[in-house]
Amino acid sequence: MKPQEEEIDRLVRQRLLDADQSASDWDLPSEQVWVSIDNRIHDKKRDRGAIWWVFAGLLVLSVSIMLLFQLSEPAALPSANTQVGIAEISQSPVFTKEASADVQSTSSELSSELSMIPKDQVNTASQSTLSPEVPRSTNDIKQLSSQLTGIANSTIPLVVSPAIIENEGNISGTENTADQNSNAESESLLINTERKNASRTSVDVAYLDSEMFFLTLEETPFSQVEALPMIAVPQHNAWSLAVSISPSLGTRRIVVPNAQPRVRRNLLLQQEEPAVQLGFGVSAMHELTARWSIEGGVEYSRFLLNSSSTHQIRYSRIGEIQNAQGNFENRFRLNLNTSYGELNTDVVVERSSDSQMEEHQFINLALQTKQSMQVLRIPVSARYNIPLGSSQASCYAGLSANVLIENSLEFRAVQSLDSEIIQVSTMRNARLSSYKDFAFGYQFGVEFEVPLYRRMSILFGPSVNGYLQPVYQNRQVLIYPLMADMNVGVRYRL
Amino acid sequence: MHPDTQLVQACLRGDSASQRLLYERYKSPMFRICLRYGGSKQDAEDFLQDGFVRVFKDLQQYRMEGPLGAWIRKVVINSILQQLRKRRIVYSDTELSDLEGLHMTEEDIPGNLDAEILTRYIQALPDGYRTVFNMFVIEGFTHQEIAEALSINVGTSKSQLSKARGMLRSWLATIHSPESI
Repeated sequence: MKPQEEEIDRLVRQRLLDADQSASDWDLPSEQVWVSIDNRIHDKKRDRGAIWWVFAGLLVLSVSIMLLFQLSEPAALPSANTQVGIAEISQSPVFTKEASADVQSTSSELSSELSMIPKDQVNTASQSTLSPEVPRSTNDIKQLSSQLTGIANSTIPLVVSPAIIENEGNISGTENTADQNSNAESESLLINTERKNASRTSVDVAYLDSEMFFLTLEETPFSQVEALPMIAVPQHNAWSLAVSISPSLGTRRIVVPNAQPRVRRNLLLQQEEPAVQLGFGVSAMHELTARWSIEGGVEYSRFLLNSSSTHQIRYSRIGEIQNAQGNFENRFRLNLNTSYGELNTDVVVERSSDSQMEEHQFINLALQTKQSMQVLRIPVSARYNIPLGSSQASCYAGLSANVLIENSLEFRAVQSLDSEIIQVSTMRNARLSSYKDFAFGYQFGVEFEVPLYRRMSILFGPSVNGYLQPVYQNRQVLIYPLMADMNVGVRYRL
Repeated sequence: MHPDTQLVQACLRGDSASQRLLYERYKSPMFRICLRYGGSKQDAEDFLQDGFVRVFKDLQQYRMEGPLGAWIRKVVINSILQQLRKRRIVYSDTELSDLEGLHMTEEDIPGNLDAEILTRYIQALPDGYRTVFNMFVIEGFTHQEIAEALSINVGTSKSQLSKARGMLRSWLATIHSPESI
């Protein structure tokens, strides 16, 4: 018995192997197999590639805008040696002086002058000179200067953060000349600044004659002092608020973890346009250190996606009726397992009376879909800030909670590809299921911040946001939206 | 240089035309394999689709050492077996004693029984019989290898093969013409 069993094995094997050498058409797969393979091997690459190309393009755009801001900064901000503000701390007429003396010589002068100052006053002056105990307000400067009363024609170098001046509202960007202020009767302190290339300035306080002061702001080499960004509020532990809009381009990442061929078979072809999203959000940022900050907020966004697909459905002539035009018409409930969800809709198929169609026949159903999702995002991110002259760049990454507010799908059948079919139309919009109301996501990106006016600054930069959990999940398909955003907004520092 | 080197490298670069060319070159023999493992042509097309997606995904693992066709065949068969494992086929151990008594020689197989008809007979076998028969008879797996690949016992593999042979013998013995199928 054993040899005979092996004999049938040999016979079957031989017949099948012989067939491998001969050409025939029964063993040729349909053309749709390659279409499906091509879609599957290229879709993932296209999805990933498109997002990163969009992100890279937006990054280049942002850097270009940033460079434009940097190049135009001298024109937008006060020029060197321009007297730009008046501090109301002196009742004396304002005295002006040309820009700063050399720091080294000033320091040597200071040493000799300090010897003339009473001991308690010298300590105060020295502390001010030896930053970080810098004056924090014009009141501090006033207090300090009052301690210097009686020291005529002396110059005391101080290190003052520009933020003091900003916070007190003394640098308004308007030019004030000595002549304009020469008749001022109120207490005033003239500030002379060198803003160009200044990452931090030292301030010379000169006491002239009786009660007249002026300050000159000089550039101090960056390497010698702690860098302070020139944006409005560089202090730590500061809060700021921002509003932004985020137009986005993206796609959906479709994962088929446990491919069920029977389900996928009916989808012959699917072409998606890029998904478009527009978000609007508010956020609060807290600066933990000079470099690190944390930001949280809420964003409302609307996601739109148009696509076309071709499905193969099994059409039955059973139930056909003849309509007024003499054509055969059939209405039936269509359940399609698509990559948008499990669709359930009524379809009307109309064919001419003389068309040849079997009782049961596969027909191609071409569909156009328009999906709209409204999502509420609650992002939280950690940020690393990098000063760029008077501006700032931030790299950030974080997580987001995504709440699906509304999900709708307009689902329309278009002309069938089959010659027998005159018209195919849907009776009602599809019912969607298996979408999740909540999913966690992630985001990362780069943000540039440019001073705009006082405590306000402009924000712009690209980011990528995606889903860690699928927004749609059934047995066969997982869908993760993946978007590249261009965020533009305004930040106000408290 | 390996004759398929340029084609493989073009496929790895993502060139669609080359991928299509590779598919066209090997689709027919691979589809025959899929037809034997699938219960229908549609099943076979699904196997072929998954198999070639796996081929293009894993193509960088091909070392240009053996024939490309043999490597593709191996990948496609592994892909088919993976799909079959997911289907959770029930490998019944019930005996088919009435079929075991049938013997068959080459003369018993009709001369006009071509590969297409024979393939349809194989397709008509229950899933478990068909899978084991294909793996043992056509691909040359041992029962131990079949047992490991399908997560079944060696005895179950032998039993499934025996039943598959018996069923095929009984069908082929009653054949008079291909039209009777």
